[in-house]
Amino acid sequence: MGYFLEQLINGLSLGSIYGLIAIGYTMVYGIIGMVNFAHGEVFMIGAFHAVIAYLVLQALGITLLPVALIIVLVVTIFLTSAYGWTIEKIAYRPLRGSFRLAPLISAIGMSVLLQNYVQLLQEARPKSVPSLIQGNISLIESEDFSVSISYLRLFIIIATVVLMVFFTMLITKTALGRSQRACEQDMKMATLLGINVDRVISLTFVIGASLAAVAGLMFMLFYGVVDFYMGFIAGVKAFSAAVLGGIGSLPGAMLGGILLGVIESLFSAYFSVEYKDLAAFSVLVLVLIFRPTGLLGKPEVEKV
Amino acid sequence: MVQNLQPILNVEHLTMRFGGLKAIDDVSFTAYQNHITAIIGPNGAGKTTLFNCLTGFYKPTVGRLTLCSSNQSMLLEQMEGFKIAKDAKVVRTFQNIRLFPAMTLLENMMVSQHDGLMRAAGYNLTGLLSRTALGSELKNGWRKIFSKIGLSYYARLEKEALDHCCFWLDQVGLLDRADEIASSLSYGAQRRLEIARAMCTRPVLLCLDEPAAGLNPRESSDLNVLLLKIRQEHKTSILLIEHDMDVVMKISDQLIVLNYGKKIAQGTPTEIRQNPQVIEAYLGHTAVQVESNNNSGIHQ
Repeated sequence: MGYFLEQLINGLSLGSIYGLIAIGYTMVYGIIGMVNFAHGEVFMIGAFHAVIAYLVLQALGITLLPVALIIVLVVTIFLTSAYGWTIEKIAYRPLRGSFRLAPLISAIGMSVLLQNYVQLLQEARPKSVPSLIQGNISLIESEDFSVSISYLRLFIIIATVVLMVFFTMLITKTALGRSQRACEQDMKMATLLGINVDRVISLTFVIGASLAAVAGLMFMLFYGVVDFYMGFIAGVKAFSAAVLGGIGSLPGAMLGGILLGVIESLFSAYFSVEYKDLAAFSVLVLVLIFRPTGLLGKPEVEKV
Repeated sequence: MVQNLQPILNVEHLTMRFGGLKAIDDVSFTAYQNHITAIIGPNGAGKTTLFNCLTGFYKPTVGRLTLCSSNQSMLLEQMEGFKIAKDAKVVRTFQNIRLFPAMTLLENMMVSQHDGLMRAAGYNLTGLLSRTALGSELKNGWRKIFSKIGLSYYARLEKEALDHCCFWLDQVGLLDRADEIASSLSYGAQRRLEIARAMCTRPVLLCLDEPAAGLNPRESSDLNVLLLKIRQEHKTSILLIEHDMDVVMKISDQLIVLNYGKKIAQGTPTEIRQNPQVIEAYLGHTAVQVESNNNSGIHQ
């Protein structure tokens, strides 16, 4: 029982990271109907920024953890969203209006480019950071078992919840969120009502990239190791999470991410670590067989 | 009508070519301020293409489209799509209604208020803060802080935008359904919502593409009232494509008749009704003789 709960918490925190990346996929898909294959690399770049920012802060002698974390967070978000913005500007915008596969190929190219770019700049060897947040809180103490949650996992889960609340408010309550949903539903009409669609799309990439940046920071804290290739598998997982939840649906992306994380950690706890990816993707296949639109996805609405 | 006529839209030598087909062929006309100008013509005459050129859907092959608003004139054919609505204040509705189907009525309206709000919010970050803070328990304290750094500005603007949207929802009789999803409305109500949403942008020129299509007689006479009210009370000029001659003849000040992409007539409803070319376009050549024998118009 105790073991199960611990693995569940483990899965939740891993799933939060997947979910945060998945939102970037799902938002971009929702608004321009393309899969941004470079998004995993944006996450990787976010993690690298976090490492670099942290090391710079250490060199400067700022070691008070909360202060350092906040500065790292802000710097990471800022720099990574600049990457997201630029990627859209140079790799996707010129291809808007061309045939559907063009931006997709461009995205794959961008993904390879970013991997090599980081490999050249930061070398291929993994970079490690000492684990920053240590300690546990005991949740349940009984005679048979005890469950404890580490501050790190608690931090990841709480940060994700806070981000989700903030993000949901942004999408449902503000002018930006409204115009974004408007562009999603009928881009041409949004233009005719005076919305600068290009800017809304740019901002979508910026939001997606900043969530990926937070995920990158969490990943760095969680595993303590980053390398130039980590964006690939994380990207594939997050994309699967987005598809599992129903691509285009924001709560779906988060749900898909958390499901995938939990399945992975439970499977590796009870069966085999080597085959955890197999389990995650088998669930994806099963869900798609019975619900092709994903868990929360809506069937494509015919536009009149 | 004896009043000094100020032009609002000048269309000069507009030509739109699709390959070998001239959808619009050298059309020139002027629409006047506070007028309802109707564009009529048989199917395929180029009416909707004209609208598409006006609102930036198509780039005209040849021609100039000048919008003369209060103090400046703008060339519509050279503007980016979204600026036509934002700066030139020309908006349109569609023959097949284009709402944002998954949003509520109010959200549909608020989308058109986007621009001022976005600017005020500094891309929303501060707007979001002020919004959450306004709803919180610490209301007064926070509000003081926000007003000091100018963030309550967003809240005020948002309230103004909301009031403006509610005003227009009320005008079309949909205020009590403001929180329903747009796609749940009936056809007629969707049409009204589309017009209200367009009016929400405070346009100088409102282009309506067959607003009476699919409406029952009562709805279409309500529409007449609404359009006349828009013209009189809100100083918005209207450009109207319509097949329902009842609507056209009753409310328009000027008619422009297109046939096969060419302008064949222009004038007041009475003049148009008696124009033999127009009758020919609508009813065919032989009908002209019959009609002229009977000496009646094309009414209905």
